[in-house]
Amino acid sequence: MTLALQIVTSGLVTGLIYMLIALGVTLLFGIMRVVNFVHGELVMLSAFAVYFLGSQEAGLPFWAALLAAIGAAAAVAVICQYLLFRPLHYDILNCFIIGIGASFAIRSASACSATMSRTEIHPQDRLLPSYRAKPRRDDEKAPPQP
Amino acid sequence: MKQCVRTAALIAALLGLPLVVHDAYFLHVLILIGINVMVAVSMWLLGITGLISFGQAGFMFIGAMTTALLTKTLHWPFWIALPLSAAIPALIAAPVGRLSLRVRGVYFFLVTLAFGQVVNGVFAYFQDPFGGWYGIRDIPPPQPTALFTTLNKVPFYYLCLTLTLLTCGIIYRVSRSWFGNVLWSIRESEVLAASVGIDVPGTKLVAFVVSALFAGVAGSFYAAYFAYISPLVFTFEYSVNMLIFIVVGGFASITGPIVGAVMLTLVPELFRVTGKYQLLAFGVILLLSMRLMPQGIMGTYAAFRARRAHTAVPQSALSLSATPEA
Repeated sequence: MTLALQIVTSGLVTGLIYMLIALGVTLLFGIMRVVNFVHGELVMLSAFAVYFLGSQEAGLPFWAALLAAIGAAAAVAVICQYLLFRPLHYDILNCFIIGIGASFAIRSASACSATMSRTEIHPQDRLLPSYRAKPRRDDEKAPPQP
Repeated sequence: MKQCVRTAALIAALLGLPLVVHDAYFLHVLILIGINVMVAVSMWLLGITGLISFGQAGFMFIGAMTTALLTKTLHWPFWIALPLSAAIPALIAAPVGRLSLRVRGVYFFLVTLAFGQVVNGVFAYFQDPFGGWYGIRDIPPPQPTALFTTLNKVPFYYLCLTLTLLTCGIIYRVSRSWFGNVLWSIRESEVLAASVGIDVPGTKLVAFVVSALFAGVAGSFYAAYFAYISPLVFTFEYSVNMLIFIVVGGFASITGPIVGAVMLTLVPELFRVTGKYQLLAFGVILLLSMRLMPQGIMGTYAAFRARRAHTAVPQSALSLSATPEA
């Protein structure tokens, strides 16, 4: 029973994440008739923003990091709008190609940068909302992570 | 007339190239360009009507798989497998087109994308005839095998050049014939074309079948040249690359996809020296080319020529928007 509930919950969480992403795409496509291929990169960038701002070095609380990441993604989107889509007059094919180009550029630039290619998340900077930041009792019994 | 001379000179130069250049890597890149030109041009034929088929890699895969199975498993000669590899994708394209051409615009993208994924999935799932995810290796080269050896790229280059020129020539003739005019008219206005008595679904279906046929030819040559095919090659990304070639080259004439395919196959090869920054350079080039040349390379060239000649270019000849207002 617990397992079933856990599966349902984690499925719901994953589904809600996808839903949030898809909402952005459908908003843009429905209104502007533009398929935004930079959308996935915006998701990636905001994930990294939460990671860097909420990690031990920056030390922001989770909620502040979340807000900052939303702001960062919105800022990048505004830049994309003025640099990419608006000069092309929202022509669907041109926007498609320029979106793919921008997504290649952003993705490989992040993969090339030394800090962002570190995919591993260390246990000590596990990104959790502050109310769950303290390890639970059964975690304490586990052997300390190196 | 001038254009005829120029085309003949270009073909002569391409024919004479292996006599001058002996570098195997260079010939390999040229062969890659030839394959990409074939697929891009075949995709462009349907693109005239405003429909972009993302199933092109799927049809190419069907052609490649036909050649692989016929020559490797049944030991048939390549020269019999080649026409069959063109015919079978075309036969499969007929019912697929009948179903998928009912929808328009972005929904056609999605249906053909799904078709490509289904082809890939089927070939990846059935290990017995299709080789599964491992693909098929050791596909025999064309006959005579003494000529088509792995280390000698020149015969493959000439075969590729012949197929590419045939594909481009036929599709050029088709796009300039009455049938091509019908295709252009469908792009301008589907409703208007239907109202003057054009069989819009039938015309689109013929274009779809012809484009699948040439994708099959390209796939067949791919299988014979690389001697290895797998579902990881003919992916959705491959079709997207073809669309990038067309749009960067320019939609207005057949020179667009050709120039786009040549440029964008060469550019990543040139940036191979940058190592891990190759994809970054490719993305930036794509971005800049769309920003600076939204009509594509050939569209910008035509506008430049027109400006020099002080004549107005009809806007419709330059318009890139291939998708009719939904």
